[in-house]
Amino acid sequence: MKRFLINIAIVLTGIIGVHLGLAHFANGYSDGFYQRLSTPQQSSLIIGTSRAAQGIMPSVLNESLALKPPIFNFSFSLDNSPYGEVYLKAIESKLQSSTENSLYILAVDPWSISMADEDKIDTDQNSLLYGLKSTSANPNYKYLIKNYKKGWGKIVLKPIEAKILESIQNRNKDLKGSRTYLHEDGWLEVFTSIDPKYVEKNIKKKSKIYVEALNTHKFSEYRYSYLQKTIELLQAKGTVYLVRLPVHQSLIELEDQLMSDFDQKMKILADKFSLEYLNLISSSDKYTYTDGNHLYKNSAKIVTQEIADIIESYK
Amino acid sequence: MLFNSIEFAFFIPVVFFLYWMLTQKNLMLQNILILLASYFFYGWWDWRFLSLIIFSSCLDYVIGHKIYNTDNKKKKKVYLWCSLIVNLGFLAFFKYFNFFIDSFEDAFSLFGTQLEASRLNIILPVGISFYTFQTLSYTIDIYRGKLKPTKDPIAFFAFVSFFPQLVAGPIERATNLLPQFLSQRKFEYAKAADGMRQILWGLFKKIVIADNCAVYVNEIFANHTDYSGSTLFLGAVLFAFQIYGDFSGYSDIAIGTARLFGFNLMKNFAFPYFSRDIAEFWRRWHISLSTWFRDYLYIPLGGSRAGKLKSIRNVFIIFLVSGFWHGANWTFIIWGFIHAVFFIPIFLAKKNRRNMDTVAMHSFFPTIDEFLKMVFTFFIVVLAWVFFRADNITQAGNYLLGIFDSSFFSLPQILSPKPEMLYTIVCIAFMCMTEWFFRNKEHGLEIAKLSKLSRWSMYVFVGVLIISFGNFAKNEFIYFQF
Repeated sequence: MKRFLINIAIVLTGIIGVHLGLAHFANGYSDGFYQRLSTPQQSSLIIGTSRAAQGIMPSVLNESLALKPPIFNFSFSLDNSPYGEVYLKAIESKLQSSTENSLYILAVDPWSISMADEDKIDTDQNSLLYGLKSTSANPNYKYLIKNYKKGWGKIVLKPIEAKILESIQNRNKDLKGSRTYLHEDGWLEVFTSIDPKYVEKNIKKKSKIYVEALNTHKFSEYRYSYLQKTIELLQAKGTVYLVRLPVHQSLIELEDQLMSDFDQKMKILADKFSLEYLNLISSSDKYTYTDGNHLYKNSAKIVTQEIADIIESYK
Repeated sequence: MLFNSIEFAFFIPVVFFLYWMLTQKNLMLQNILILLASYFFYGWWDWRFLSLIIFSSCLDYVIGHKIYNTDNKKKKKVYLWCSLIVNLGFLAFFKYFNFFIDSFEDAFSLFGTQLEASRLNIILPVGISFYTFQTLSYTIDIYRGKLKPTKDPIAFFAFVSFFPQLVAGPIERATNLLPQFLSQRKFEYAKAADGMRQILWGLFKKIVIADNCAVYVNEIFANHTDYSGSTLFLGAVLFAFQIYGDFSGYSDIAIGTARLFGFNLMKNFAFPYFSRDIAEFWRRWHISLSTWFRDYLYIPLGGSRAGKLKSIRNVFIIFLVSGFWHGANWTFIIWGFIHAVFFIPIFLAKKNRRNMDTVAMHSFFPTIDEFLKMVFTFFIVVLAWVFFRADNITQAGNYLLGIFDSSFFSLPQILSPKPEMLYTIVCIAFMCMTEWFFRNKEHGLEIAKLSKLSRWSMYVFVGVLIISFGNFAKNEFIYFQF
């Protein structure tokens, strides 16, 4: 019996040991979120959903505004980081305790303060941030255990896949499909074709999703109150800017249907907290999008520079 | 409680420790612990249905004695019928009530009469098809004089509810399992170690093969009109591996778990996809059910010695009943019918017992003839699985028509956007190669005779595959619904 138990313990140790080691290989190719949750605590943050994750480049802000310590993109996606208790806790956990005079850019849009069912208990419990106590452990085992339910193999295989896809895409520029790389500063770079027909198809797909969401989503007092709580938290540690990023015209129309007074709401909020609301939606037709909802990386650079210039002008 | 759940990962070491540390010198205590653990295991799903198991156990315990203690043949028959009617009555009520109502309505509608019968909102008790058959084997064997009733009610109740095989088999015979409850089990290292190997292999088949295949199978079957013939065929092939990984994986875990507690359960799968004809397939697939039907239905009906027409009738009956046993849906009955149609030609040609040995017994590779026969058998089994998986006959028919389309010769669509599928296919290839290597063994990881380094490397490798490529979303075993 003793021998049996010892042998089982040894085999289990071997299996667990391999995985403890495997976790160290997780990087920006493994998935679109992990690096944000395995990098050290930060002082300046970009907050929002996937629009901000792809659309605001910390490197541009850091260079233009000479930010030290640098700003970090802590935006995830609409499913994972709409304004709410779960996201607020994650932001608190990511912030350095001694932070002051920092910069916070809060990307806002009608979807980030709306909800399908206001009365739903345990809001955002499907978020990958739900119950995640540490957002800076490296490796972040809890994140991997919770979110890699289809196996840990992709930790090492995704980077290989990405390299293969990269070499294929380099040889064939017209190849459709996309891959991502999450930079250490939290910016999600998306490599995809911007062939107009392909983009148009993606915009149609995305619009369809949001048209369906229109039937279920409406303004949420809960989300709005947590946006205010987020501002309160961050304003105590530095300067907060609310930013509405550009999106494709078809999505602006849907957002107007969802919340026609959204800009008004943000202006009221800005006045209440004495902060600036940068509404970039009017220049939306100047930019390129991957699917209408997300800025293509070239446009993301221009938009981020525009944000940096405006912030500089307020200094 | 699922074998692939966190709860089971805590449950099994606790029961194992209590069993061998605290009760090992007392048979009664061992059986009581098994019984309590089994009821806890079942009650974790829904404690209310424990009453059904307890009732069936009480009934058959009493009836077993009644049958044995009377010399009156008529009385014996009456007692047996009591057991059959009550047990099969429960099964019919919980599993088939709404199906019969639907079918009656459909039948009347053919004659222009519209019936509006009320349906019941019935929950199907997990494993009812399995433990019903197991407990029936006890009373039937006593009736036939093959078995004496036990005087130990704890042992009998533990036999009926033995947790490793309670909800999805193997369907044990009282003649094999019950005596094991009547003699003390002693811990044997080799048996327990091999049990662990079989559990590991079962988990691999369930979590890596079945649950990953399920993702693609569900997608392809749900949207089958959107996919090409080749993709539909791929979906059917993946379902073949899903159901094999799911059910044989469950059986491996069940048999391995039983071995940890000193029990030997019957083999339930013998590498069925290496079969050279459909008869061999049925000797290797769900053996405990096939042999149950053979012994308690086919042979009493006259088997193959009842003349040609009656023999054909018997073959159809056993396959149709087998299909119906799987579920209250015409798709299962059609599935059984198709297998009967596959089986009849070789049965009539008296070639159904020509492949009794293991394929390529004396060489590593099969001959071309053997290989082609295996491929053909697999192909027809895959086509029949479409009925097993489909929600209804129309869907199955459309799915099969979709396969035999000119797009059958195109590249499967789902492969391009999802490279993860390639990993699943590589894992399926690994499973097939490993099982081919050990095809004449009891299970796919019976590697006790390899060197220690090879064995331990294999354990770690399979364990790493499970965690690296396993699908850990909570996926029930398919056979729980039967």
